[in-house]
This record gives sequence, structure tokens and C-alpha cells, in this order.
Amino acid sequence: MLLLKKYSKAFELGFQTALEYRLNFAISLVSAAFPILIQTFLWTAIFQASAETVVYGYTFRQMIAYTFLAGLVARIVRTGFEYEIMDDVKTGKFSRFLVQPVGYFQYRLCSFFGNKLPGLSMILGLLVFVLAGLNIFWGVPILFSRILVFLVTIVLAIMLNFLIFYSISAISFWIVEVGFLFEGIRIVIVLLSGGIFPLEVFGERFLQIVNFLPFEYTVSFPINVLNGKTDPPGILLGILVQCLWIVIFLGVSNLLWRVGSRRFVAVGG
Amino acid sequence: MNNVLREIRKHLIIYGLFVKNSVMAQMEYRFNFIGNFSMEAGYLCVKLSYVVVVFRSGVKINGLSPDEILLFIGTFIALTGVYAGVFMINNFGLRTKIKDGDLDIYLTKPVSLQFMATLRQADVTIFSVDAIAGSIIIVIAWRRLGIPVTFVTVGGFIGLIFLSSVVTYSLFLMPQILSFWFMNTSAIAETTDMFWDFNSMPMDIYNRWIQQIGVFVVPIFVITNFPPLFLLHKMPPFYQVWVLLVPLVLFTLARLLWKQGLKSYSSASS
Repeated sequence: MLLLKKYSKAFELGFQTALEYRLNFAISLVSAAFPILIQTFLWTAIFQASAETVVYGYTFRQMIAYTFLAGLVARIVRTGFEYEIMDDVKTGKFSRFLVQPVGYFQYRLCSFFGNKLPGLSMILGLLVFVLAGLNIFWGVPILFSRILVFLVTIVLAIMLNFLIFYSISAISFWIVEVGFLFEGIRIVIVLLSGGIFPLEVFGERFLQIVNFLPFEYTVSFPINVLNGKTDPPGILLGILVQCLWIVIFLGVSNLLWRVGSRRFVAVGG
Repeated sequence: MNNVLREIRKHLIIYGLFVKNSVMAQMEYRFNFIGNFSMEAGYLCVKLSYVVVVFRSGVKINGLSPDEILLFIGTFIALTGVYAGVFMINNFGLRTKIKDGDLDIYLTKPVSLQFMATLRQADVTIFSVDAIAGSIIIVIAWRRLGIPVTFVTVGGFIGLIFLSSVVTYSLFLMPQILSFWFMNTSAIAETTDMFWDFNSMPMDIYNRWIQQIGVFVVPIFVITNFPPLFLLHKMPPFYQVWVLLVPLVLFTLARLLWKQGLKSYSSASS
């Protein structure tokens, strides 16, 4: 009970921080709208010029739906705590967690989910509008069962992305000023997860490589569940693979943090 | 005339020193250099993904072949180096300088305050990554399109890149100057920064209304579209006049706005 109370405070803290910087969040949503707009124009021009009705395995409507959903899902799973971890390690604030009866991983996880909540509800609301729009104007079929499964895959995707970036943030123990590197890694991961273009765009060989990586299960997979490109057996398999990657990254992050925290040095009180 | 030339020479020498200092500062923390490089390389991957999309589709987009689009993307990447490595770093720091009263020290220097405050820093890593990658893409597209290498084509293209840089400087500086009147302009800074990405593809992909706004109202499309249009002989006569006029107009506007803004500056020590 005490444990629950302790980490619910971390959740609350994350929630309050997100509310405090809500204008920033609104601006970041606008920033998500810009690439969506550019890509919509690009795909419109490509489909108009193409003699085929299906390009890269997508019809025009599916491609526009993917573009909109990718922009929103990539925003939903996005982290950001890695910079706070870098700061904690650099400034020595991390030492507080070594002496206090608070697990750093649990604290970060609860704070992350708390921080995600206001934005998540806002984006999910937006998603409802986008889905309703796609359904009403373009007749894109949206099944209620698929929305439910999508919500399951999105929670797993958030968890997986948290663990990927929690593992990456352990670099802070080896390199002090690592913010730019985080940004470089983040943008490549967004690309590999299908957060910018559908992965099919890059060809068969690229897809084969990406299939061995965890990233597509954070953006591309939940979208394909929602838009019906993944069949029910594929969905089940995908959810199992998501869970498998979560277990793997739990192990990887644990190992990296155990080794990394031994290098941590703090001076003073 | 001699005085003007002397002033230009003096400012160029000082700018060389600014760049040298920036390189030295970056080299001091070598991992920052690698981190910066990784970040820009990551963004470059995203820009190149647009090239993949265009080439693998193999279609002519609104009359532009994939090779022609490659020329536009190369120009965009090269000019991103100028925008992000030379101007943005100063633009984003300007509001802090105004807010904290850091312009006080610049006011005492015998060089232009605007020059000192808006060009003092340079991120050589970002500039190099984008300028080199962009130049390579431009050369590839140039060869594939069989554009002759003459004094007119090379000189004209470089000249237009210079004019585009002036447009970039003026256009993206003006929103930052608002910091003289409003203390918190971070939202403005971030929003204007996002506009840059509209150039990631040729303006021909947008509808006519957006194209007109992007050329004449907020001339963002002038920056990365006009140099390739010149090489491809697709520049209408009116654009040829506009490309000479717009840097002058925008620079004058930015200068006037700066002078006006400076009147509202309250020094930290007063």
C-alpha cells in the first residue's frame, strides 16, 4: 500500500509537470501537424502522377490515413525523460535516489506515465476526430474491436519505447553531455519505427532488417492494427512480439543501469 | 565607396574571428562535436528518406522528374546548413540576450550591434554536415540532369544561394526581434522554425494558393526553390525580378525593425 502511495506521488508529479507546460505541448502538436501537411501534399502529388491506384502497397486513402495516424502515434509514444536522466546524472541529483527508499526505474516509469496522461488524452481525442473524419468523408472502415486492440498495442508501444529510451539514457553514465546524441538517436528511431513514412516505402530488404528490430512495434504496428492492414493472427503475433521485446529491454536496461550506476560519482551533499 | 568597402572588410575579418572562436569552443568539448554530428546526421537521414520516396515512386511530380526533385532537395539540405549552423543558433539566443540585458556589452563595441548580436556564433558541425551532404546531392543531380557547367550556371546558382541566405537571415530574424517588445517569444521562435521544413520538397507539390503565399507574402519558397528553378530554366521572368528585389526588401525591413526594437531595449545596468 505504501509502495502504491509512494509511486502514485511520482505519477502525480509527472501529471502536474505536463499540465504546467501545456502551452509547450500544444506547440509540439502544431509541430507534428507540419510534417503531416507536407507529406499529405507529397502523397497527393505522387498519387496524381502515378498510373497505379496502389503505391507502395497503399491506396491513396490508406496512405493519407497512415500519414495522419503516424504523426499522432509517434507523438503518443514519444519520451523526453532521457534529458532529465542526463541532468540527474550530470548534476549529481541521481545520488538522492541511491540513499532514499525510492527505486529510480519505478519513479521514472510512474512519472513518465503521469506526464503522458494529459497529452495522451488530448491526442486520443484528436485521434477520434481523425478516425471519424476518415470514416465519414472517405468511408475508411473503423471497427470498434480494432480500436480496442489498438489501445492495447498502444499501451505496450508506450511501455516498449519507455524501456528503449531508458536503456539508451544509461549512456549518461559514460558520457556527460549526451543531449545531442539522444536527439540523433531519437530521430533515427522515429524513421525506423515508421513514424515518418510507412516502412514499405524503403523496400523489401529494408523491411527484412527492420523486422529484426523492436522499433516498428512502437508506431507502425499499432497503426496497421487500426487501419486493418494486419490480420487477426498477425495482430496476435505482433502483441506477443511486443511483449517479448518488453521483456528483452527490461533485461537490457537493468544490465546497463547496474553497470552504468557503478560509474556514478557524486561530490558533496 | 571606400568607406563602405573598408567597413565590409572589417566585418568580414571580425566574422572570421567569430567562426574561429566558435570552432575552438566546440573543439574544447570534443564529445559535443560528435553528439552534434550524430544529431545532424539523424536529421539528414530523415531528409534523405524523402529522396527515397520520390525515386522509388519513379513518377514525375507536377512536371518535375525525380532527378529534378533531387536538385531541390540537395539545395534544401545545403541551405539548412546555413540556416541551422549560421543563423538559427544566434536567433534562438537573441531573446535571452535581450531579456538578460546581455546586449549592453555589445553596445559599447565599435561594430554594428545587429551584426554582433545575430552572427556571433556559428555551429560548424551542423553547417559542415548539411553543406557537404547538400553539395554532394546537388552535384549528383546536376550530372544526372546534364546541366552544363559554365560560368553562367555555376555563378548564377552560387549567386542565388547567396541571395537565398540573405532572405533566410532577414525572414527568420524578424520574428525574433519581437523579443524587444515581448519578453517570452519562445513559442514564436519555435513556430517560425517549423516553417523551414516547408522547403523540404519543391513548392510545386503545394497548391497554387500556398505557392503564391510562399513566394510573395512570406517568401519562404524563394529560399530553396529559386536556385534550382534557375538551373532548370523554369524561372518565370517575374520571379527573376522578384529574386533580386526580395532580399533587399526583407533586409531593409529587418534592419528597420531592429532599429525600432532597439529603442525599446532596457539595459540591465540602467
